[in-house]
Amino acid sequence: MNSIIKFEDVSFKYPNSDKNAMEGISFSVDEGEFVVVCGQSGCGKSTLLSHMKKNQIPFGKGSGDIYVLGKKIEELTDLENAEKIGFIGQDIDSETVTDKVWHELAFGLENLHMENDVIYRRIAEISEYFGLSDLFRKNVNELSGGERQILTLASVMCMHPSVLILDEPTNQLDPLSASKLIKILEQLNQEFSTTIIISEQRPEAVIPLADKVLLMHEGRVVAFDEPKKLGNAINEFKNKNEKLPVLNSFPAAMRLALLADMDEKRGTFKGKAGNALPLSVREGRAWIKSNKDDLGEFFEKIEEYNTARFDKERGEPGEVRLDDLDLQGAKNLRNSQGLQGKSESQSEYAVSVKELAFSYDEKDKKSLKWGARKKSEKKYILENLDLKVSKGSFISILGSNGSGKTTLLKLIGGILEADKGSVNLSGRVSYLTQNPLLLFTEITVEEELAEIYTNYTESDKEKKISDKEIVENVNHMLEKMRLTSLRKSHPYDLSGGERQRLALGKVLLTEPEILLLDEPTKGLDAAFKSELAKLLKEINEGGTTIIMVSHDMEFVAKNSMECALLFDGRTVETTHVKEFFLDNHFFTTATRRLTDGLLSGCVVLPEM
Amino acid sequence: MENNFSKLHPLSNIVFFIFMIIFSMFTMNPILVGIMLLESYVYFIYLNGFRSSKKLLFLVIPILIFSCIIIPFFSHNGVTPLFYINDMPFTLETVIFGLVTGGVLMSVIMWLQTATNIIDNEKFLYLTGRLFPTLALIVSMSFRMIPLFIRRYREIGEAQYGIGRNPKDMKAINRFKFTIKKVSILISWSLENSVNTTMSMESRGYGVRRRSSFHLYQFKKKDAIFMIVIFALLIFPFITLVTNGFKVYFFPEMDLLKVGIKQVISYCLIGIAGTLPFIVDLTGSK
Repeated sequence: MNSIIKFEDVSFKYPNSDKNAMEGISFSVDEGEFVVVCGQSGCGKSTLLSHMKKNQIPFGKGSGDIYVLGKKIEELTDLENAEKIGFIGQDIDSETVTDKVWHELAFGLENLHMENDVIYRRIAEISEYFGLSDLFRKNVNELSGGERQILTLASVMCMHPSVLILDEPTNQLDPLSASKLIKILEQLNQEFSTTIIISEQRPEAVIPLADKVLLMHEGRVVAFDEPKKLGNAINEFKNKNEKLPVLNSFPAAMRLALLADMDEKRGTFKGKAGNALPLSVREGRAWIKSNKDDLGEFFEKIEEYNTARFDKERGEPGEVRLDDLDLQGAKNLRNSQGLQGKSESQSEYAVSVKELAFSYDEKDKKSLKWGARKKSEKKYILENLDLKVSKGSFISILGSNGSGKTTLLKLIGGILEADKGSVNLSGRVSYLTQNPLLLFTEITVEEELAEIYTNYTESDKEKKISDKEIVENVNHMLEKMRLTSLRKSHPYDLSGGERQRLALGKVLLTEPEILLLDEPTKGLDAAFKSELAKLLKEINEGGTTIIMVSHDMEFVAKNSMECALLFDGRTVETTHVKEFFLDNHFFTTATRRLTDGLLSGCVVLPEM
Repeated sequence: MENNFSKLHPLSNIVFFIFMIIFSMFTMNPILVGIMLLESYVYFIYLNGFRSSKKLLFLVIPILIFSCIIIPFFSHNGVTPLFYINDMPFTLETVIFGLVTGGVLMSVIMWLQTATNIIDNEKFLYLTGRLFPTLALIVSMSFRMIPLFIRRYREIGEAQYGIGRNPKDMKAINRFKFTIKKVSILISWSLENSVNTTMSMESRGYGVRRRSSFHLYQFKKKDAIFMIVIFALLIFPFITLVTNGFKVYFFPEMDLLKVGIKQVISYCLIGIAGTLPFIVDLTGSK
């Protein structure tokens, strides 16, 4: 066997933990395979991956044998470990070591004590291949997130590894940069037969490329097979009545087929998708066409689910499940709530933005060095922007990278000042950043929440609040954010989703009337996303206006009421979510592309 | 600023500036000081533009006030009194001495300023890295850290503003407390990150072998020519300098103008050497 990585009954336990992070894991990966490891956050993906690189193996109690490149991992020399196994961790910022692009590329080769000429040749060819030649002499800080991730990949690849291990590499990237990265990985795999092992909690984009998928749940392997053959294993697992939330971030075509298969248990469909799941939109459409007759009733349910979600003003996507979808009931619900919603939304505006213009040029100029520099024309990132948000609504702002979405939020939040135009707010506004760590200062979760009551300004002192009330509010918020069991933990020890919840809780304690969210789902898994959706819905129903910036079409389609597209410095127009996603052809959800012209009015799929 | 001289090998650059600074610093010969002052000023304007020389006035004026006006009040050497204060002479010699000292200071400052224009961080790193490779890596990592920290600190400020904390509304003491808090967030965040960076370094083989130090500079033919020319021009003036050929006397009586054959040749050679960057820039591939 020429398996390049082989696990034999590997288990691992972290110190201070009573549960195994990995349990009885066995599998083997052959040379040149593209393997996707997926599972929800905390299922042991990262632990698994770090066991493939000698120096990354965490401290704890392990058992079982791991073979890498035909040797036991303990017997691997440091040199082989460094050269032959490329490892890229989660955090883009901390992966880069030096200040210049060329120096970053050379770093690994310097470590191996190579000659100047050899290094020069290697990094020359690698930067040509990865398209980094134009950036070669730039500072690492000037690169965008996507470019930095490609640089990290290139600087590992120039050591010519035989295995490339990536731990959630697209986590912090926007969809465009993510798909660019994935294309490069596919190319590496095809052209150099580099074995690639990639972990993803949102595997939508990589599954269609994978030779094998390793599906994990709570430290165990649920399935290890070709992606289209996953159906049976998943069904078997779900039959044991266990939840597998990661399925909700599978490609839309797969989800639709899996949903149909699950429906089968209730006797409506004798499934055949089990061993031939459609992966891409193309395969999915063919699958819908060929099953249109058999699955008529199922497709109708999907259509009905969408109608139910969109025609009510306050849809309940988290609640309405396929299983309890009573068609008649949904219609009634829609009628009653639809009317109610209309009358509410006609009230005044929470935020109204008029002819807003903003440019970063002026601000950058101050930091420029003195000396001769050409005066360039001012480049506006936002120009002539109008936006009106009614009270109590939930609006999503979409747009491509660098279109100024975050800038707009910061302008509304008062963090940046506009060059022209005005922003009028009807109430207190709070802004939640992308990175929750920016808010954390204390050593326990509960103290962290209480920290919000530290008085800094005069106006804070006026509305003085008693200690008892603080304790009450904090307890209430812990309850609401489902953090009560973690109240004594250190905020840095929380998982990504828990951190996000804590940060959201802290922001909510300021009792905002308008809540600004910047990419709240970035780096979160499907399970937490549906939890967040519920929380946001609660907050929204409590009367808080929510303005959200997001790249996550599916999340937007499922949760918000209105959408605005930001393009060329202004918002194209505010539309109802349903119209927005149904009318758009490119800027829409995968489900919409999958069902366009086949099923009517489908934008989202129910959760599994 | 990109020009042909800055494209030369860092060694060529540094040799030029070291020579210029030696000839500016280790002599009080007014003719030499004048030549250096003129050439450094012209080169400074050439690199930074005429407008930026305004900023130089802020340096020149205090230096001149100090060395030509204040010092003569306290130093009374010399034989040519201009006037008396409290029976103490205010002498011409000290004023001239002050002027020349000011000239020396100014030309050294301008040479250093132009040197930072030509020798950027990267070249500096290379030059130090030749001597201390580990130090060079640390410096390179810090060059990456500093802008990163600044960016993070700004992000922290924005996030805190987002939950209603605007430093402008705060009184001084609260603002101070708030700043401390922001710094502490920055530190814990960055510590968290640095653990990962260490991992990443180790993964890429840091510590497996002795490191080599990669650089992008090639010592080309034009560097060799430049080196030969500059040494050929300056070897004679340098010997003159070392043998005190430029020595002048301010006190008690001034003897400033050294114009023997040896000196005149040296002045000319130094003058030519000082224009080398222009010659390199104009001739291009020389």
